[in-house]
Amino acid sequence: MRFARKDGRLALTCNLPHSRFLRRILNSIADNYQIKPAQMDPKSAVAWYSRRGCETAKLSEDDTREWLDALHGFRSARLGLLQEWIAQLAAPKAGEYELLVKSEEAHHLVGVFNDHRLLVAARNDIGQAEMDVHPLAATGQLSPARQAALFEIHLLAQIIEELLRWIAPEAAQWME
Amino acid sequence: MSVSTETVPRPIEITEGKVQAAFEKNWTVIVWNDPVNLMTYVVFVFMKVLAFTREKATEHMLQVHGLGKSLVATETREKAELYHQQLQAHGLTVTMEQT
Repeated sequence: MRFARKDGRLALTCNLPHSRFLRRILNSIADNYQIKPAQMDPKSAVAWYSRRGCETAKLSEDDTREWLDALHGFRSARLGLLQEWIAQLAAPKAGEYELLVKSEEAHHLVGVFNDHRLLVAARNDIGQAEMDVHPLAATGQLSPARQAALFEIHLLAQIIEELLRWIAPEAAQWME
Repeated sequence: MSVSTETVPRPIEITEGKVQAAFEKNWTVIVWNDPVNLMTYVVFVFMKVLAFTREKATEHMLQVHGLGKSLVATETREKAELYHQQLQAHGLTVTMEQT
């Protein structure tokens, strides 16, 4: 997977397996963005639509529902972008797959990948203990499904770090 | 026909109270640690949503990471709600409380 600037856009170029991987994730996110907070499974709802802050803010039940609907609106507003990106990743160019993202929309791609990480972690009960396990050392410690989840979370972390180096270099260099 | 004037001051008092409460910066926004969000991502979100400098964003991210939470804003209710919602929309674990 390679990142570059191309015609003022961020270009992510990859091979077929990576293109399939990204399309699977984007399709999964697109499906999940369409689910209303009240219809989400409890684990996913906690990851994306936690009521904790509404409780500490002492919001009424009606205000909490409105709050969660607004959060859902924020996420579902990305559906058009997701469809555009999925289509791009399905069309090979000279044997490679290219995702061109407008600079002003690149933060949405970061957000989408981060949302997927949060959801996968919640659904597979991946917590601090599991996050501290190296994916390659997870064999034998975690079920195959949780190993796959952990691998996906770490792979997307690398992609997010790389994306941030391009779109928010200042934030990406916080250690320096 | 007589008109009662006793009821007039009450709504004004209530309105004044609401206006005063609306401008009072007594709502705190707290970001909590979680095992999934990346440190770099949290710095990015603090800079984007809260308009923090890199240094300030890093300081608060390290507080979240090391101490389990960081108070990122003390604001009016309206502004605290805005920050709370935007931070939560970015996947961070956030609460807000009246001080």
